[in-house]
Amino acid sequence: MAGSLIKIQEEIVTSAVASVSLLGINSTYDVYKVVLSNIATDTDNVFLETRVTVSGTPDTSANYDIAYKKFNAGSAFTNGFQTNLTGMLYTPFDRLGTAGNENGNAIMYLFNFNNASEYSFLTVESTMRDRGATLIGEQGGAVHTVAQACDGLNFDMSSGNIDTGSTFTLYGLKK
Amino acid sequence: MATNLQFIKSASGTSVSSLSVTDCFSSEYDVYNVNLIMDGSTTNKDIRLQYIYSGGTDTTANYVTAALFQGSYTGFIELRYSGQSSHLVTGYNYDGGTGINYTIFNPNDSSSYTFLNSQSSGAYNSSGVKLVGTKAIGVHQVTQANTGINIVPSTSTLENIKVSVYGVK
Repeated sequence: MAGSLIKIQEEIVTSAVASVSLLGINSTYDVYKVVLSNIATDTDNVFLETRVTVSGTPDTSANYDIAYKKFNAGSAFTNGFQTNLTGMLYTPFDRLGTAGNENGNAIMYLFNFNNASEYSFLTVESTMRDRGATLIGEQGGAVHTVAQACDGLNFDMSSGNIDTGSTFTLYGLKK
Repeated sequence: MATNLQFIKSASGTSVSSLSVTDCFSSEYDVYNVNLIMDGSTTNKDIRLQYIYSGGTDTTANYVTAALFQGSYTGFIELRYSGQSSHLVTGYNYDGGTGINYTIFNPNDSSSYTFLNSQSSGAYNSSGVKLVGTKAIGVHQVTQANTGINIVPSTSTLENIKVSVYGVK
């Protein structure tokens, strides 16, 4: 029986890069899935920034809202929420580090990205070790409050580069 | 078109003290989706996960877990565990059954730690059967190639349990 999770694009970072884009979202699927595996940075104490792309270009307008519960193995859980950001900051990860295994992993589901008359929503669940080697995770979501068709996601670090070994994969969920 | 969620193997048991799924992780996949379903019994217990490697089941104190206990009858409870011999409280089980979904990142990579996300819905005894869900994150802080998982209850046995492992290609 044919399956329903279809890989569209995979980017494996083999040398440090400033940003990675996953493109190819269109009307083929209603829901898309993004898997981030072993996301690492070459600069200590930075976080991953996530933005929608329009015709392949990251949208940096101040129209991103985020909300999540931050799990923390070292202290009380907290709520994170902000509006009108220029990107999904701290989503899906808190601050990454350059010591061993201070990297992140996440699953995101994308909704309405190709719909030009609705906002683009996504859910996030992540698990990582932060710059202090503490287990951290986020359960939440984000929205880009612009009614436009988006064709992907762009990722960069708040400073420095995305490091070797980071893997970004975009899938479509077959209708 | 080939699918990119690929069934690898499953294991099942009836009234067992633990259930192992061996040789389900390899270098072929980085990310795995694991589904668990089980019946209940009238013994309250939490469901724990351990990794299997070339030396057997890893019970060294290298499991770190943070979880949110989401009870239908009480306020939510934050749970934090470090230096444990398993990922604790990845789900709860009582008379009525339990389902758990795990996402496991890079278990077979001998140069990285193994990370986990999980969510569950199950039964819990608090003056009768109550709904309890959990969301949990975890890291197994050992750089070794894990090849499988072992599911173990905090007490008693696992009833009519089935675990299925899928690779995300």
